[in-house]
Amino acid sequence: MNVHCHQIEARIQQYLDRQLDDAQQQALLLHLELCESCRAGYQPLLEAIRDVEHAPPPPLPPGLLDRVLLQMPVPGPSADSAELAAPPRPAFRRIVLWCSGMAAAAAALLMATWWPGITPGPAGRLGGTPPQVVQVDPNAVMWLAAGVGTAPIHGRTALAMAAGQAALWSTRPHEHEPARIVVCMADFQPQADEVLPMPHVPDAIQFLANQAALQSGL
Amino acid sequence: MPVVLVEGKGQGVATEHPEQPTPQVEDDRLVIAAQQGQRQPADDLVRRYLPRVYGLALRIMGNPHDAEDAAQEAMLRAMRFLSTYRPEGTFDRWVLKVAGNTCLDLLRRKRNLRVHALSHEQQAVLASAEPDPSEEVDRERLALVQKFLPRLPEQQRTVFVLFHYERRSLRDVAEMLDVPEGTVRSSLHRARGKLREWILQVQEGCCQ
Repeated sequence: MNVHCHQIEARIQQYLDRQLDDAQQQALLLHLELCESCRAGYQPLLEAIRDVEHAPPPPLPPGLLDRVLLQMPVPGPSADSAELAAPPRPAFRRIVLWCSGMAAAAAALLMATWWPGITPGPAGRLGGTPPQVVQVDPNAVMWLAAGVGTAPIHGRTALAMAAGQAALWSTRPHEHEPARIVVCMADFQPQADEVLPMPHVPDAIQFLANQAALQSGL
Repeated sequence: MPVVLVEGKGQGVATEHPEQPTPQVEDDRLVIAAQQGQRQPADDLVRRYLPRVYGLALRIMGNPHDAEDAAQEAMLRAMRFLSTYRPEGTFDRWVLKVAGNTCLDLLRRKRNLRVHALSHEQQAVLASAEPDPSEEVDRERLALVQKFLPRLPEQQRTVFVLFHYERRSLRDVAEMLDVPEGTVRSSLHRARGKLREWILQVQEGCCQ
């Protein structure tokens, strides 16, 4: 079983697809040994693929494992397989899913003071509980994303958390249906069929921002 | 010059050992316990698979920040939907499928953000990971491939990473990405064709 130069491209691809049997591999090997031109053209690729297939996983970034373990859902038979089959939701770096611990405390404090000035957003038109997009100050979001639940909460960080909580409270249609909330950078443009922007929420956030600026002197 | 062929054609199937369970059996044992509501086995699954999920995400997303997000999201999704997995020795394929789709979804939704080529420091991190001591891996060449990956379209890059880095079969990759096997094969051929040209050009000093 000989391999000729004009066949080499196809044979190399089949080989790398793991589709050649032993005899075909030997024939390919023999041709590459004997044909300097083919060897020069394809050996670098073969060596690179070999390296790739033995490459170890890169080291985990510090803190990633802890963050995942911290956010782990309660194990048990609770998920809906239909939702998994659907295209997964994005994991934006600046997404803040929940305000917990100190965040909730900060939110409650701010809400207690300013809630009367906030207009609740309307329920979603898409059915179910649509994710609520909240656009807030980039710095505040970054601070929040970097230290949610762990870092001390100050001024604008508390503001961002409160804004998220405000949107959550203002748009939750029923107490037993947890709303999804997406706090994102101001330049993020969600696709129309994925989320339903609520015009009232930015107003609420702006109100909070003004109040926070007055209170903290920011 | 001796011809180097890629060694091993298998899928990294675990070596049978009379006393130790295979990784697949151990995975399923942990999955079943986690599905019954035990927290520790669920944490163990995360510890076992987060490095692979992060590695996959880093190679597909092209930068550590997005990779970290993708890995976190993928792992949490997998654990949230753990009850939908049927323990049949394919947990690794299942979790990588979730990770691959999470990455592709992120890329689709963030199309306005370019996939940045890895910086020299990031390439060094990837190339510095300790390889299998039984294999001699050329770290410089590995870094070269890492530098090349962001040049591929998303689909070709994802297929390349799943097939070569994760050593999945053509059929596995097709099922994971829900595309025909022929599409996987043609994506691979195109990706490798481009990789070959890139390496030859770099060798000739045409581009870096």
